[in-house]
Amino acid sequence: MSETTRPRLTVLISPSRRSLGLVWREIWSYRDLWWTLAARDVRVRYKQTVLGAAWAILQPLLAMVVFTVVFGRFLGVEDRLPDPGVSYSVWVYSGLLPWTFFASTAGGAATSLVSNSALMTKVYFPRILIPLSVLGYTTVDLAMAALILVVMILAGGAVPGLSLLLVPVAFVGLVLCGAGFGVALAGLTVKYRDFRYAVPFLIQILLFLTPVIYPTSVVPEKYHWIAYLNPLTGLVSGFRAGVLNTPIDVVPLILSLMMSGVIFGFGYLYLWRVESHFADIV
Amino acid sequence: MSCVLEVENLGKRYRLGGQDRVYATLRESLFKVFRHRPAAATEEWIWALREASFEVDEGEVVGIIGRNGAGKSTLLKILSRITVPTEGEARIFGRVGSLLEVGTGFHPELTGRENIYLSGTILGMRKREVELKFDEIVAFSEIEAFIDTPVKHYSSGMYVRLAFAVAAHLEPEILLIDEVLAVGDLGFQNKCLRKMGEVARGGRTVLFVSHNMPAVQNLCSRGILIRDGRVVFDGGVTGAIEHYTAGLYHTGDDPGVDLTAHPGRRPGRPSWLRYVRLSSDKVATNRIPAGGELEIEIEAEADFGRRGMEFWVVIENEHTQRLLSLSTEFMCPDLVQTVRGRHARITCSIPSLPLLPGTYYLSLYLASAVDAGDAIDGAMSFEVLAHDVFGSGRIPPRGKGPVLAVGTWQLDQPRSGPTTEVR
Repeated sequence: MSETTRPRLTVLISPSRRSLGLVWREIWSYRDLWWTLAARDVRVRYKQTVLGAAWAILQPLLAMVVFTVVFGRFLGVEDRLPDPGVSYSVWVYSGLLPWTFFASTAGGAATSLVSNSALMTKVYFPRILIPLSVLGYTTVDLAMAALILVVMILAGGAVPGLSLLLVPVAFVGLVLCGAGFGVALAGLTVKYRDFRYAVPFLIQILLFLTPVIYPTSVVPEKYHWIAYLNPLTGLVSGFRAGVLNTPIDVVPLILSLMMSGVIFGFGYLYLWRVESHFADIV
Repeated sequence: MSCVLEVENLGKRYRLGGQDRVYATLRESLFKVFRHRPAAATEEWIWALREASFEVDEGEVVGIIGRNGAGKSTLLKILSRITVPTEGEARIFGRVGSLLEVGTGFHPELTGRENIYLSGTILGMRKREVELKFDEIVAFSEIEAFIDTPVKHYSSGMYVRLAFAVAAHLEPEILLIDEVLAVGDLGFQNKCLRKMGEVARGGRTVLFVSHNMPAVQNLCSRGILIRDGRVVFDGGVTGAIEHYTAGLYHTGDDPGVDLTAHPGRRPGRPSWLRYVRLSSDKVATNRIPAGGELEIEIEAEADFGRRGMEFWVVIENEHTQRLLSLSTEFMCPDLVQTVRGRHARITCSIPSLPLLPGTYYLSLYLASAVDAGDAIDGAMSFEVLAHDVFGSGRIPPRGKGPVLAVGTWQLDQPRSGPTTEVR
């Protein structure tokens, strides 16, 4: 009679892909690693820069100044805002925050796998944790930049209301959308290095297709449906309406949330399909 | 003993071609969509590992040996799940930890403390586990005073110590190790070996990939020899090492060896070294009398205008242990710089070969400061023959150390008086 019991099968290594459920459970068991990777990125980001955290504030702030002068004043977008009580600078800043969060999440995640190639060839863990860990520093950046927004809103005499509840809703959408795009682009960048050059350009183009610096109302009514196909339209407008306590168009927000969920699911599936060969090609 | 690892027909195929060519460009993929090319017909594949099957029981310490590019690292990469096999299966029962390099995940900007957490979780520990073992890790690494200094300010020795300390406290049930011991100073290397011995005695299973035969011999009870992607020997560690060294370098009685397409050349190195020939007292031979003259003539073809081109000759014993090295870098710097043209013929002379009778192996390197340079491990074998070096008619047998020293003995004793007292 043997006292030793055979340990349970922990890993099955085979050429076929593992089931999605198994992958999901594994990601959960590695959650501490997500946290340490995210913390690493935050620490490294703020350690070597002279201005440190100020960068997170300066970037959207400078963009706000330029956009206020060029678009607000020179091009007269200021006079076409749907809510006359709000100044263009506050209006554009409250759109730049969610936009910057999306852009740096998607952009940062896109290059994350390639820049962590040393890790991928030496140790196993669910690869998706690398692009997802970008969310750590982009969230910290967003929180920093939001401090200025709070000051600007209070200085403007506005009183935030219940609409603030929209902010976390929009944030969830932005996380799903940014991370979803980022995860998919990260996989594509490993496979096709072309994406390293294409991604920053695509993100720049997307800024002008999203109502960040102009309101959707300047777009002719019959083209609105095209604007709504952009998942960021509802998220950026929703975030903005939340913090500025202005009327919100619910339909595009719900559409955007649904699209963001689909995008995240797509990114997750794509990475699951391609990740097994990364160590061979990265 | 229960089986903790089952490997069945495991194989891995790679596409041939340079590293840069492995990933596709978007254009190629787009073309593939529009133009129907017969897939895989024009592509060349190479099997890095084929039909590997074995089982490992709980508590076994297995050395995996084989020359460069034989497939040992591929096997380890598959078992540690870094890459996926092309065919076959492996079943692992228990928690796996793999150490494929020292300092996995270390970030230079972060402090030692932060890196312990980072590296620990990357290697598969939970945060809580790292917390529990933190003091032990720091004590093992012997760098308490610098724990809050960014590791970029560490000396390489400190870096390695901290990195190994984290890895040593991983405590998995199955540990996969790839030659991480080849780093650090000797004292620390011994400490690492001791720690690994402890791990092994603690009933855990270890798979150890290494070129360091004495370490393999010391640590492992069983050896698996891989040659050209296939398991060719699986059994006692001594037998595996004997098979390895027998099949590895032996080049017969030929005094000269063509190096142009030598199988011992490390993968990816340029074919600069072309030919090597041994001679003793002006006679071409690879049978050299102990204490006799040895001349090593090397021909090479390369761009000698590169920075830091240096020839190296290394003599190893049958356990691939390095016994001595001769290099232009130390013995005659600037000599290689005077080579005119792309072709060089250079001779290294050892007036009195300090080796006892036995079989030895010659490794040749043409290093460059700009890139990796050419490297051929075990370019050829040669025999050192018994020879009456001391004029006494006797020479020391094998097992008394590989080195032959020529010297004299002198006895000092009082001129008169009893030397010994016999009762």
